[in-house]
Order: sequence, then C-alpha cells, then structure tokens
Amino acid sequence: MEKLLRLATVRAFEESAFLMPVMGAVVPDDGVLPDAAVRVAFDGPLSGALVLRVYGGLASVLAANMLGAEDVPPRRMQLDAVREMANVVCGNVLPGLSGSPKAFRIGTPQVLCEAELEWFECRPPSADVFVEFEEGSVRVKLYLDSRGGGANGRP
Amino acid sequence: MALNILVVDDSAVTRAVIIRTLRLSGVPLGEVHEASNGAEALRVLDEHWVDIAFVDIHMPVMAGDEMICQLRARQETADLPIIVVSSEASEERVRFLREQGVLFVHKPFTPEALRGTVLSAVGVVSEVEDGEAPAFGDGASF
Repeated sequence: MEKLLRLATVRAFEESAFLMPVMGAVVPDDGVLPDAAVRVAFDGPLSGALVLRVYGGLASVLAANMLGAEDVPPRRMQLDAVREMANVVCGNVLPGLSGSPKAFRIGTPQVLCEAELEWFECRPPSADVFVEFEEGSVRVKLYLDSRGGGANGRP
Repeated sequence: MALNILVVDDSAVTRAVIIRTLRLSGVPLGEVHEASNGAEALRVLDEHWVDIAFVDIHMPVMAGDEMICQLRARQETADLPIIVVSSEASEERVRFLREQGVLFVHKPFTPEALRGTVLSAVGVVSEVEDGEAPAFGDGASF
C-alpha cells in the first residue's frame, strides 16, 4: 500500500510541478507544523481520507512551478496548488489500492486547521509516506475506514 | 483557426496549468473561458460559442459527469468536443465517459498527451502516433 502511495505522490509532484525527490529524507516530528495540510475524503470501493502536508516552503515552490510564475504566488494560490496535488495523489492511488473497476466519489480537498490536523494525528494511518525535495518535503497519510480512520475522514 | 475553449475546474491553479500547457504546446487559442463548476460552465455556454471544453469530474455545485449529461441532452451542445481532465480513472467512469463521446486526459498529464487529445477531439487526426506531434496550421481543418 505504501509503495503505491509513494509512487502516486512522486509522480504527481514530478509531472505536475517538476519537483524531483532527493535521498536522505528526515521525517519531521508530528508536532512540527506544515506549511499547509489538506484532507481529501473519498467513498466507493474504499472509503476514508487522504491527508497531505507540505513542509519547508514547498507550497510556494509548488504553486510557482505549476503556474510558471517567477514571483511567489499569493497564499490562496499556494493552498489551491496543495489541494490540487492532494486530489491528484488520491485519484491516482485509489483504483490501484481497491483493485475494483468501480468509480470513487472523491470530495473537494479541504485545508485543515491545526485542531483538525491533531485529530488525525491521534489515529493510526493505513499508509504513511514521506518524500523530500530540494525545495521542501511532503508527507501523505492514508486513512481507510476499516482501520479506524473515521467516517469519511471528518474530524 | 484559433479554438475558443472553456476550462471547467474548481482549482484556479489547474485551470491556469491547462491553459498554459495548451499555449506552450502550440494549440492556437481564441477566446478562453473559465468556470469553477458545471453549473457555471453551462451559463458560459449559453452566452459564448466554444469549440472545445476541458472538464474536471470532481467539482462542487455540479460535477463534471452531470454537466456532460446535460450538454449531451441539449441540441446545441450535443456534439461539443469534450475532454475530461481528471485524476480519477476507474474503469466504470472511463466507460461512462466513452459512452458520452468524451475523451480523457489523466492527471498528472504531459503537454504531449494534452495536445494529442486536443488534436483527436477536433478531428485533425484520429489518433496521435507515438513520438509524433502533428502540427496545427493553415492546412488543419477543424
């Protein structure tokens, strides 16, 4: 499961934002606040939520690369870029995980506040991957309902 | 001939990426319209002529598949070329889209994939050969 999640994450960042992973990733403690955190709830052959967090200034680089902008994009565009990446990772990983031809219903990606993020920290994810880039890092956790991730992953 | 396009996605960044990718890959663009959901897109189509629509599936207010059904039911948009640009590609959904005469580009996408699908959608070529990039030009017929 983690291999599929890592592949989906790396591919999304490489092809959408030209960000290549580097070796030697140091996973930040759960207490370290990310630049942004986004949740995508899903339902269908599998149900649960995917939570994606970016660290170390990655949100601004991500948005700038996706938009082809030389200046730092405004915060709302940075959050939009993070939401879109969460959506792409989620959409790519679910069919492979479920092995089912049936369609998923994928919710609108939501930016999480600190309290909502803490709610997820108290629950064991079904898969947890961390990828480091020169420009920052990303951590993606997948919560499946059968593993106690919460109904539709809603805090 | 420049194409009037409509890009429907709830992400402003994604709309910008699609438009930028089309420009960079040499697709001649005329009027560029944007909408953040299916309902907004239907209103745009009521007021503007569009040659091709790029549509996301998962959107608030009105999702892409519902929008496509409504477009196909209207006489004036029944044959509108539509390209779905989505991250989710379950067999069930792709089958439904094909039944609606819709082409599909999977996110994340390359400029070549987007361009090739546009060429197919507007009938310049029926299929893009591997490694070849047919040119838009005076000789192209839309």
